[in-house]
Amino acid sequence: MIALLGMIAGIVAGLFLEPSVPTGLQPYLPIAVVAALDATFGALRAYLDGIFDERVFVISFVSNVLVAGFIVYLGDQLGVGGQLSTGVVVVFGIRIFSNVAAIRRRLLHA
Amino acid sequence: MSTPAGHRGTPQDLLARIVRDEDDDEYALAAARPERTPPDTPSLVVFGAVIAVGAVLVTVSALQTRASEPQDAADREALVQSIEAEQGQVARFSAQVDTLGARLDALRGQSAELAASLADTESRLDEVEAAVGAEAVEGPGVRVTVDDAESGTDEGTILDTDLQLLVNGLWQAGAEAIAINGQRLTTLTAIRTAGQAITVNFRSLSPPYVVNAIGDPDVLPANLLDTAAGQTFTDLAANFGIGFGVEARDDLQLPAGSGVVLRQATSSAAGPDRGDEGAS
Repeated sequence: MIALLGMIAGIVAGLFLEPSVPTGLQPYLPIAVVAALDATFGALRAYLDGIFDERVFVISFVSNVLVAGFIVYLGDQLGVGGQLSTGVVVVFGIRIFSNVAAIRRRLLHA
Repeated sequence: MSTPAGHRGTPQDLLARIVRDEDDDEYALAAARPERTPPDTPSLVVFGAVIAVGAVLVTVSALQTRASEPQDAADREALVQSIEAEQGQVARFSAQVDTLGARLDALRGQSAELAASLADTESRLDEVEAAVGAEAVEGPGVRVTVDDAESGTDEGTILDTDLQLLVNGLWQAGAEAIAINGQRLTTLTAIRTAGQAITVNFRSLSPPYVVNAIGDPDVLPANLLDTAAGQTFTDLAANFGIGFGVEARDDLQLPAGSGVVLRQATSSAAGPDRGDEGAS
């Protein structure tokens, strides 16, 4: 319930306030979104497993976004930002797939 | 994060661990902890806030991607136009290369023609220089020796006209180059008397006069004796006792004539200088 409310509030805020992202942070936005998606699918899987915990979700979400952003920032400073972004997206993509596979097994028993 | 030591190391193990995702299941670890408490209100508020932040992130990201689409399309369009322009340039340049290559071929042909013409002219120049006496020449020829008669009479003395006659006879007989006592005959050479001596190229010569003539040694002596000069000298030798000998030589060396200069006349653009311009 709270999750649904928060999501609606966030989408509405993003649509109507249209906060402009500073130019320096723009490269990290897609990475942050992918990290957030990873945390979300992990939470969904835990929810279906019946072991969801808000505290773990908050920590994993925030740390995912921050660490992903930091890795890409570090890569930018070292001149390998593009490659590190790709690596981060690949790792999160694999995790998302495995989480979705677990969810699918849980829901469809297949 | 308890992993058997054997699982670390190879990239395959790393990939397998990522895919299996056993180590990273935070929820399972949290659930395994005994001190699990039901969520209180503040933590639920934080949870909702984080969800909201995530939603904002996704929304903003999507909005931004959509907003930059027209710009991307414009950039792409500009790039395509630039590429087309450059391709047109390339086509123009390659056409230019073709044109210039054709011109180069034409000029090469012209150059070959000019080189042939130059070689032709140079060989003609060599011939002409030998004929006018500007160049030293060597080759087979005849040596004609004439001398005053030992009697010392006026009739037995070689005059400048005699030498002129002999030289003209040699030219007539086919000589290509002539020198008298080492003085090469050029187009500007005069043979005349100055005082008691005969001068050639303004140098006084004393008898005997050795006339070297380049030419075919097989035919030159006979041709010379057939000419009026040959007849005259034969008569002079028989009647007045002058020395007259003709012998064929294999290698005669004739020096270059001195004083052969090229004089060129150019028309004066200002007209003739009358010298009275100061008076007018």
